[in-house]
Amino acid sequence: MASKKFSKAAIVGSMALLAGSLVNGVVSAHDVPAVNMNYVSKSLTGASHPLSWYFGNIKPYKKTVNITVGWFSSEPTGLPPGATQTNNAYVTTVEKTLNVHLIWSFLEPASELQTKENLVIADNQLPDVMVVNQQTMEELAQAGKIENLTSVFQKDASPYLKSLYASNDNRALKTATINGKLMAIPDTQIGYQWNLLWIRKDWLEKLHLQPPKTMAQVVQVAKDFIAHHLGGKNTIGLVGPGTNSPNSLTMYNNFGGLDTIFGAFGAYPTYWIDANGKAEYGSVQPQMVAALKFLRNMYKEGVLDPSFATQTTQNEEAALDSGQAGMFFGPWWISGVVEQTVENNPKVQWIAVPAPGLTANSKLNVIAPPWSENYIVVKKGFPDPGAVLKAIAIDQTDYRGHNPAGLFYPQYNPGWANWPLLVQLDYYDSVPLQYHDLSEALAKHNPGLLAPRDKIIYDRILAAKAESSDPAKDIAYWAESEEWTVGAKAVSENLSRYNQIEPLQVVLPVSMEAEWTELQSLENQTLLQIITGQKPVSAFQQFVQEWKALGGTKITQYVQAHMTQFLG
Amino acid sequence: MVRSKSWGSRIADAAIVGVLLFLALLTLAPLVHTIAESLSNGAKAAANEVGFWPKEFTWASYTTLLQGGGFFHAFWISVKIVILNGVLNFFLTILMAYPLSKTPQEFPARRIYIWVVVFTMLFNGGLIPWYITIAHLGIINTIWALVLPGAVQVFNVLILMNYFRSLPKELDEAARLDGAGPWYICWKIFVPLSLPALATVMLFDVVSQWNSFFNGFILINNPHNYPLMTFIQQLVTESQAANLSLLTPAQIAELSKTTGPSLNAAKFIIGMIPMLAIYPFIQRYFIRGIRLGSLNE
Repeated sequence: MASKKFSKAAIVGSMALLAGSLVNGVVSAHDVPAVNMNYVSKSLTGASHPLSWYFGNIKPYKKTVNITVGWFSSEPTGLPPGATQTNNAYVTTVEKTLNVHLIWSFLEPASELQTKENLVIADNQLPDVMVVNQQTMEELAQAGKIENLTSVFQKDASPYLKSLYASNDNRALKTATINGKLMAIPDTQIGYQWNLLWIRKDWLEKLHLQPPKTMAQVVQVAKDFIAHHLGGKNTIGLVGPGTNSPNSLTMYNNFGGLDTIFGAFGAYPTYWIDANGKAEYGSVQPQMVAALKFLRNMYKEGVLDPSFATQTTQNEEAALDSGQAGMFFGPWWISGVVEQTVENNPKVQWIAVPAPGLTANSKLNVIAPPWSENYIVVKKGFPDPGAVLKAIAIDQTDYRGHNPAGLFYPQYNPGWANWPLLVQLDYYDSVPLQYHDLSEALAKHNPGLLAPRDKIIYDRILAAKAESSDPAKDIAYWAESEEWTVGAKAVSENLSRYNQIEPLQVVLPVSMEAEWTELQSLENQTLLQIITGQKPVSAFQQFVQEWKALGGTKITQYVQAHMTQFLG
Repeated sequence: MVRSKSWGSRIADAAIVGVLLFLALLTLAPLVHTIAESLSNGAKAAANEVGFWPKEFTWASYTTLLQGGGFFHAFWISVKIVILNGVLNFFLTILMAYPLSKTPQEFPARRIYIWVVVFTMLFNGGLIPWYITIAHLGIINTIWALVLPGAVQVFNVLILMNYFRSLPKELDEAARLDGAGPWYICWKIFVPLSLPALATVMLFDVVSQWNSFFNGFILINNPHNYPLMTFIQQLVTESQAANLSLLTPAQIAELSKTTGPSLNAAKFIIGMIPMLAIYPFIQRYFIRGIRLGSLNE
């Protein structure tokens, strides 16, 4: 669950922060690297490391260090009465352990954070610590407004923090390194969160069908669902992504996203791809045509929700909730989003399978997450940058449950935003690793094998099992159990089938932003029009010409010239 | 009153009543729909299944909005802002509009002032200079940041100025002959005669102050001190699917009953109540003001 919450949080944060200027891209495709099982015994199991390994070299400062902070705000969720985001046990733990006093300069909801930051930057009133996006981080670095953290990181980052970055080859740190200097503490992205195909198991059983193994079978199963009116008169075969974000059609790790269908044809719309060592934009590549033809056909045959192009994501979820729809694409953690289906009708059962490819044996092409999305920056001239790293290590250790004394208010199930200075930091492999640990503990009936926070998940899985006849009773347990026993299982037990496409993080200069937004909306509109049959597939060629003429060529040349570090 | 009983006029009457009823229903329909949505199960509302009657009746949207005491705290902050801002606006708008309503002979620099005022309507410095100005006044993160920047609404000044100018000049002359000074003439003669215009500009001001949420986000640093609309806006955006990550499973379950449309609807309804409550009072001034005006001519 920890990773789920964070993975979603990362999307929120990134969507709000990146605001069109940061473009995920793709470099070379390669097989999924073997999961590094060393972490399983050494890191996830709390007993193997002393607390000092997690915390690093921590001693209370002799003189109180005051840190002013600009951060995400959240409703004080999961806290006992009286505690708030700025005053709770996690905050006081940092204060007591380090003699560091945190002062909130501003707290903004993720949607408004960037606006506020732009204003305080313009006003030259930076707090000591802020969380920003990559573009802002680079601008601040070039303007000399933030500290170089290279040596501080070497000295004060705990072995635990360093191992988190190392689990993805320090790629996150590379994105925060400018001219050889580490200018920020980046978050890390968790891997293996690609979309699965979630299917109503009870419907499959009713029609004596097997879970689909190819895309043609997905279409057939959807047709069968519709023909037998399993969800009533207006049964929907496959739910779409909704229109909440212009990229939702093709986004990785996203409810309803159709990226795996594009991937089956080797098409990676909205990402930058490596075409023989040269950066190219995925949405204008020839592989798109076959994928669009397939989707257009799905839409024509009524397999894909006929109203998906005009519905919000909430509408699409509601179609599942009301028991109208049979399948959707979503990552391993998505069960919490569809728990209402089970609450409304306890007979509903979901299974997840790897989103099928063209044939049963095809390698499954999936996008890897970006290397990092949020960056903690320290104001130039702040005397104790090390205190920031130490506070982060304490938060992170407590949040991940490696410090039994750091589990406050477990009965309230606190939300992550209550830890001060916390961003998503976890092992890149954490999904299969946690799944491995949990399934081993469940098989051996031995929760002693688990880290403290995983023990909580273990208990909830057992609780959900005990209530399987009436899952609506504790629907949150059902959702959490489903994440691991269905979602994470489908990911972790099929790793060898995947072919992962590495992301490239492109930051466009401000001068190209407006143009890029225009191009994106042209792209999104054209793709939707082709899929829904308003335009012929041949309109794709016109779109490519138009895209190039309207600035696409210029931007591609910029990316090719400036993003060479990601290629090859 | 004479009533024609001919068929033709009866049909015309019926048609007029019909059209008026239709228009009235058209105005009411969205309101009724919103109330129905706010009292419905969130999933039903999101699926567009709610018409003019709640489906799977629940108060959940309202309890979510009212929970935790934050709502009433924010409500009180908004009330304070509207009162402070309303009082300031009332005085400053009159003090600015009255001299500007005089002729260039009486007030030679009038034209320059008018240009300065109109200039600010056409051009503004943009968000960043505006923010920096407020920041350097040292009022960021205080209630004054939400009160002072809107203390004079130029558009309202122009409305009131034009209304003053439309009043008969003889009133002014007569008062002066009787020995009244400008201050006395302004407050004892022009202001009482201008209640309709004042009611209009005050209504504009109160409604815009009440409904603004963006300033709360950037001028108030601690969500605890957000005014009502900022508070509600934050709740609504946080309840959208992507932001569920910030909540615990139990809260997600609670929120899923009130997702999107039904929560939004409850927001509209609760946010509307204070405006509905003050409207009758202001309307009274409208009527009295209009009657006063008619008697003078």
